[in-house]
Amino acid sequence: MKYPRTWNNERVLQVLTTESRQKERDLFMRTHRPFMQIRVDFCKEKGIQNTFIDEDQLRELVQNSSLNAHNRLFFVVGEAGSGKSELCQWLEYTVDERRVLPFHIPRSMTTATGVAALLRQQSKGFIPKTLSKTPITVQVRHIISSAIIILYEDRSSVFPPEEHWVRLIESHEMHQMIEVYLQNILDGAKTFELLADEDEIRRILNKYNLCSLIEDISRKKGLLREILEQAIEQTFWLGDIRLVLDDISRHLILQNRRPLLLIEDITGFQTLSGKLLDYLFDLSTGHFDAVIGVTSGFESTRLIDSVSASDLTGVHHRLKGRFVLTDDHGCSYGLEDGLIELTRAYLDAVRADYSQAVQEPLFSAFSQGLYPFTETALRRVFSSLYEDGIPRRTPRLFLEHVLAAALLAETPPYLTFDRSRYIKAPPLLFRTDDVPDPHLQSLLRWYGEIDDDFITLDARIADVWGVHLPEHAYREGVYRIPRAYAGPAPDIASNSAWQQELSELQSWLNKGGMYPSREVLKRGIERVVRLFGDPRSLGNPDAAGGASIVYARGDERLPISLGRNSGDQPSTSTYIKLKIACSPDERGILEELAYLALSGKDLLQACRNVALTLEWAQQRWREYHLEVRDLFARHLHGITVEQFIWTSWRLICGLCGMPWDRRPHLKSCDVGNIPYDRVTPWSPERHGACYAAGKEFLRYSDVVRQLFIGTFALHASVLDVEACTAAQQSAASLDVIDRLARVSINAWRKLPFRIRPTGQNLSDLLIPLQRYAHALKQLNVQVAYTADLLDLRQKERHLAAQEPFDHSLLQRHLATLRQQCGEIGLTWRQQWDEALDTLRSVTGEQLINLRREIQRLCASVEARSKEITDDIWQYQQFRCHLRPIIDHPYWLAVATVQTIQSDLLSAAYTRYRRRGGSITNTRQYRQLKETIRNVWSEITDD
Amino acid sequence: MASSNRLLISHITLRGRELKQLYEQIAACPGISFADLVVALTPEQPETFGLADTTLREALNFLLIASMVKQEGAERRRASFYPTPQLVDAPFALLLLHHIQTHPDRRQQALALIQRLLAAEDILALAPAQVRERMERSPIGSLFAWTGEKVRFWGSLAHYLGVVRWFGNNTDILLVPQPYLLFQALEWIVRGNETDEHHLRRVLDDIDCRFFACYTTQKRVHQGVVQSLLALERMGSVHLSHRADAASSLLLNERRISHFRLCRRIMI
Repeated sequence: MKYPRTWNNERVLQVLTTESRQKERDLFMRTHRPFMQIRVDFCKEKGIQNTFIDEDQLRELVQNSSLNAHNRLFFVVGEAGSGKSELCQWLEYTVDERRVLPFHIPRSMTTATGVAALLRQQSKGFIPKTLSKTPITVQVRHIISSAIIILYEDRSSVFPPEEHWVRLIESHEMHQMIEVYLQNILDGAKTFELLADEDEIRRILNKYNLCSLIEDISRKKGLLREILEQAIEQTFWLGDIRLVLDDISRHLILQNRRPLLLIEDITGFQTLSGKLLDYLFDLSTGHFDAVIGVTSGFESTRLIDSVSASDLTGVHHRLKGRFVLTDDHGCSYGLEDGLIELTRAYLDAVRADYSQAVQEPLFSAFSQGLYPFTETALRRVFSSLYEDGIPRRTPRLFLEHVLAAALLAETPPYLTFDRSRYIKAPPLLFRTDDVPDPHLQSLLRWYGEIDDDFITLDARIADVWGVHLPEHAYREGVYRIPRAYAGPAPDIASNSAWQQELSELQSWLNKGGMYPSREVLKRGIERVVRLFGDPRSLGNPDAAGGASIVYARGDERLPISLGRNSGDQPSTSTYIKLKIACSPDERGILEELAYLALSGKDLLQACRNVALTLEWAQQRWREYHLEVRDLFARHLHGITVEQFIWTSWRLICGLCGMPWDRRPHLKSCDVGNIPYDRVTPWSPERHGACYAAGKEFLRYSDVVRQLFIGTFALHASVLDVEACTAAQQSAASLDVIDRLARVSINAWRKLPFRIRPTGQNLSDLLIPLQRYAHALKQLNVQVAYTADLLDLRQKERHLAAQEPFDHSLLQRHLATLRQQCGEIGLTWRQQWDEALDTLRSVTGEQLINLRREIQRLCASVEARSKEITDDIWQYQQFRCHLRPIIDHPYWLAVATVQTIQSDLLSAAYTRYRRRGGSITNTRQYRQLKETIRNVWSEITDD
Repeated sequence: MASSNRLLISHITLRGRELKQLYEQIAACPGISFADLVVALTPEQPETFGLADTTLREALNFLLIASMVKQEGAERRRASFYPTPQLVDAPFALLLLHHIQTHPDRRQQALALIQRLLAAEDILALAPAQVRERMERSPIGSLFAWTGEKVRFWGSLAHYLGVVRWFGNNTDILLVPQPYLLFQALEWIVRGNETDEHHLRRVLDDIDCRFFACYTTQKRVHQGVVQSLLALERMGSVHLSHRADAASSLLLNERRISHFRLCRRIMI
């Protein structure tokens, strides 16, 4: 392993600093990458919210105000390290100093003393110095007195016994230390610390016999420093900070400029923050513009404690704008997009001699000058950045723990990334037994290009760092190994049984052959395929209810056949299975599905691209579903499920006297108490086979109705017009009845089609349907038409003869007939009364209407006599139109009279023959015949 | 007239397919009467005592409120209906999405805003109950009272249109646009372009503006759209590429993409 370098560590430390202020202005501007996405939570002056702006626009918002406007506050909110300081620094360097004078208060400046010094320094002498005439020794005495008061009043509990500590604070040594500190601050040293020398402190504590009283010297030192700093602040701000800030504001306004406070991070401020913020939040007090950095979460916790505003809403009401640098997940907006340019800028700044970096292969193998990184590696490591166990992608983390760490390390970056506690290594997407070398594994993890089926690596990268590449996977400058998809998940790594099963799967995917754990993969496949419904169901997925025909081979599980000699039995012509061919395209998806089955996780957790997996599953669903449909149609001579159901329902509706042609109805055909022979278009005498088979088929009317609803109805009252139109047109183009009649029931019985949800075997329905269709095909439609027309013409003639119908005479004759029945001893039946009542009540007008109806029907048939074909649907329609004529009660009454006549003659014959002699010569018989003739002369022409 | 006070999201009995068929019927016969619509779309069912056209009236109301069709004549049953599409030659799903998205009444945009708000947060999957909770707390929480039925209606309609995938009550709603919808949208946006290669960012901006949300608050492409685009590429329907001289580009997972080319139509 080697690690050629084109930089030196000293330069790296100069360039990659934690704070932006640690860099010189030139270097800062050289490495600064523009903030392209700053989310504007709100900006009252421009009336914008929830949008993104860049840093130039932000600067314009900040510095563009009228001179006398009151305090304008802007919050820049972001996670630690998200670039708040960088933004403040950039504003300081780039604002228009003719319009504003920036006062940049860095994060490190957390005390009043420091801020006071800075304000004085940057105001270039126009702020009157607080205590400017008082000698420094007097100031020190004042500070010491203040500190003693603070100790007595507030801290006596932590500094027992007080007298010892007071002696220490009053000591000469302490006097000297404070004086040196003040002098340094006033001379402009921003980072000089009070009580910094621990040895000196220890010596003084010993001198005043305090060491024995305290356990933790550094903690006590910190507490003591706090007291002294507070005392210094009180001393320095005795004149009131508000007056100082007022002075600055007033003075600058006279220069036609506004003061711009750039506070990198208010989070670190101590007691100052409250005073300063109170001044700023009291908007009418001055003319400051203030850009205040706030660490995410600080606003809602500590900030509201620091200002007078009652709550966060109150704080926000006083802000002119709130800008956000990071999202809810702690990731900097836009950083990922500018990642490569940011890296290039820093690498360019780091390299003193750039010519080394453009040497081959360091240039072209590493994304044109990104050595020792590639674009892929940078993006991958960026998306793997973590802090405290949660993803956090900020510029500081990236610069310190990716760029700086990799450049300063003795080992190549991939090893640095593996060891970093800020980087959570992504999974290896290949089988580790393919790549035994841990260095190569690591290199592939970070620098490997992930294709759909392979991981590839530019061999020159491995060569630069001396990583050996096995020859078998090396070709034309590229190292390439098959990728795995599900292997790397941590729960798999800890489960040897899962590893074994996935290993079997990968072996089968690579080479084919026996695959023992097929059921695992099948469970995963079934789980995702069945999201689209059961592919064996042939119903309409958009239907609101109803029943459907399903292919029900085997149990509830979906029959699946894995290819490549896995050990599964392939599909047969009648036992069809969902086929998984295992093409190279499917490889990744199959591994993920096996993992899905093993882990029981949801799709999003197991699949890297749910859209792709679902498309794959839907495609398998469609293929299998089409096969089921094809099987159905193959055994029904090409009739599809929709044609089958459409035709069946149409036949059923015709059988129960509610035929339709184009617009189906969903009305139940349960005719209830109405006898079949009163609704069927078929006559038991003339269409005996159709009549009998139809009666049998009608028993399934409800089943067929439910199937129809499940196929063609979107709601109870809305049809699936597309499905209806398609079925209607296709059924019309096929002679469906003919094909149904030819179905081989024996062959059909072998097919496992059932009706869901009843579970009824489809052959139970198909058998009567086939018989009915067969009977319909046997019917000679032309002959049947002719017979019906003859019958109609006869009826017409009969009715024509009734035109001189004498109602009163008929009633007298019927009375005589009944009387003679009594004389002969013929028992009078109750139903005869109903018929004779009908006959008595029928009017001449009704008979004329009935006759006209017959004439109209005959005329319509005869008018298209040349067009009349064997079309059974037309004939059925005709028969249904015939039904009201046939069912007219007049014909029943006529038939009843015929029955009475027949019974009466028969009874008379028996009676008179018993007396001997010729019956026809008897007077009674002659009278009887006369009555009957009278009746018939009224009601018939025969 | 349509009951304009009714919310689109309150038409909870509808599923989507009936809307498409109704719209297509009106588009095929502009000026069609209500009676003819009844004949075309409903079964002959005389025994329903006037309830036979309930769903039809509901669907018609939805399309009227969405401004997909207009009614001429004051009384619904005697009126004529005309299509009023805001886009030319757009497939039904895109057309409806566009009408909802650009509806002048913000409350009626709710059916589009749900996906937009969830996409903004880069959410990929959520149970309907969680969607409801989020919406109640969101900027559109006060538009109306959120109910489980409304969210389920959105889920089923959005699934039908292809904006999400939802496989039923016990499953999460996946905020992953179905590839065929995305393909239709890409195809519609670039129709008439002279070149074969199109600028991805511009086209996605257009889709985001017209049809459905494509970006998160960070202006990154929503993960669901990313997955759908990559699935389209894997299926051979689009070809994604990056040009070094491109004015702008998008990051799809680890890939930077600036342009795309349509290759093969998706067969549904």
